[in-house]
Amino acid sequence: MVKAKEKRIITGKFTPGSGIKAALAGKPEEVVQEVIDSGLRGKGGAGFPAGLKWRFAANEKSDMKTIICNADEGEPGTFKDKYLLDNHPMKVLEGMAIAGYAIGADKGIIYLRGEYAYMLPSLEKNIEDIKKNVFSKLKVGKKKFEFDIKVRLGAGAYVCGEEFALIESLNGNRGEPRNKPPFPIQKGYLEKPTLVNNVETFATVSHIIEKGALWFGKFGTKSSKGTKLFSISGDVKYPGVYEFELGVKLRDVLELVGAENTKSVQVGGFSGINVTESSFDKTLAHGDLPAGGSIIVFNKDRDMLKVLKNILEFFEEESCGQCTPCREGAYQLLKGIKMIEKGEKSIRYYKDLCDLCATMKDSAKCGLGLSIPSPFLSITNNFKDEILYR
Amino acid sequence: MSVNLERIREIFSDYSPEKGNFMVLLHDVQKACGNWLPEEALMEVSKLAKMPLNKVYGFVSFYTMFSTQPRGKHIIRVCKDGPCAVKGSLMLADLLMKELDVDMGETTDDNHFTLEETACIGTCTASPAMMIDDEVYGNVAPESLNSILKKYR
Repeated sequence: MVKAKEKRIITGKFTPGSGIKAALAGKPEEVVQEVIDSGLRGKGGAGFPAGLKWRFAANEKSDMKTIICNADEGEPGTFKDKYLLDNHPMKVLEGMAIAGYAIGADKGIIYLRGEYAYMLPSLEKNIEDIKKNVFSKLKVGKKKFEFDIKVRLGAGAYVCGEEFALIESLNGNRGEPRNKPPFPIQKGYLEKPTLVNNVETFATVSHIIEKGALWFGKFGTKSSKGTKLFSISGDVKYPGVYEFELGVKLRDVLELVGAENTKSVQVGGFSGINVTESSFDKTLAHGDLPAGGSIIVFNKDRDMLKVLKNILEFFEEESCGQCTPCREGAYQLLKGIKMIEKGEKSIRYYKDLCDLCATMKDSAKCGLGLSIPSPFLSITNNFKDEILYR
Repeated sequence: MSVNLERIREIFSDYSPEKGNFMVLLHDVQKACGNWLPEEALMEVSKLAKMPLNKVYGFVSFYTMFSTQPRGKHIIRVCKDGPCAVKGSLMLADLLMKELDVDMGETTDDNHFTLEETACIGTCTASPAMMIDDEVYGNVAPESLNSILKKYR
């Protein structure tokens, strides 16, 4: 019997307008408190408590604040945000408006990755629709409710999924991460307070505000509340976007999607970790396996050295080049793997590469550089014989 | 091909001068110049945006979807990442290189196609995947390649 079951909340039914109406019935600080109480974590990968971010943003004093919806879905093997924008766009747009009301922003920007440019016309039509059919009929006290949403395209840079790089890119600069602080909630788009959340976070918020934090808290685990979308691809019979309660066992997920003869699974995308059979009973939740949203399955026919090489080629290409540990680190790791492939290097050299990983983890500037060691170390650890002694 | 500076000025007048519009603007300029950004175009952008040329160039060269080299009428982008790579996108890339007689990143002699690699395009459920201009093709089988290309020839 298949044990994992999908739990459709974020991909479930929703009456347009019900979230934002519930939000406007209360005070902005009540909305923020509701998100805090729900225990919602940002769905972009890092898992920062969304409500806290909202409170910090709400506390900033400024004449202008901006809500940014991060739709720069670049993690290889991830397509859940695209799925949401295609199938449940109203929830996302409404979630942005709720955030706007909660922190005092009247403008929102969807940063859509350049590769998804073909989605632009339908997205813009949905924005027109929600403005006309929902927003224009709402009132805050006696004033009309106003919230404007624009779509802005990226142009092919993975690092722009990092919130600071994204903001830099919108500010007309190279998409290079900045040092923190100041954080985007203090100084972001046009140097003004800016709240950046993932597409899925906004979609989830619409449901939380509609039905309440208590209801949301019934799902998931103690430290990871609610459900999460997973993009599942690779060697499985039924690839696609699935929604599970957080805390679901990886083994049960694999069974449901028809993964057979599985050698290993890349959990959390390229920047996540590689796990094998012995870890399949772990759960997808904060503090256990990274619930980043991308699950790529490799069967027993796959050469893990080639997989790792493909991953490192990706990072070498996508490193923005600003900080040395990431730029040089990715290059050296890739070079090392290519030499090991040719049988030109010893186990001693591999140990040097592991040291380099430690340095990268200590000193890279943003999440990109910090996470390159994860696939390298987990894949080489899991497949020592196959990779190092081939 | 000469650059239509008038058209670039028109594009600028379509948008408010706020910084957030710079990226969209360049997308439009690139489209108007035939899928790439010639130096004259960038000089005009620099003037209109009141931004030094080196900064404009720095911006453009950061993003893979902008090109300062001439590109063909249609851009073919083959996904090279994980799920597609294991499902045969590298073979697909090889076939395309052979069929079009170009290397990765090059343009055919008749300026009709440019072949590029792309990062994941979110079509992992139908890998291997590729894009031609704004159209996405999933589950691309080697035998279907010619009929797809035909549509653009």
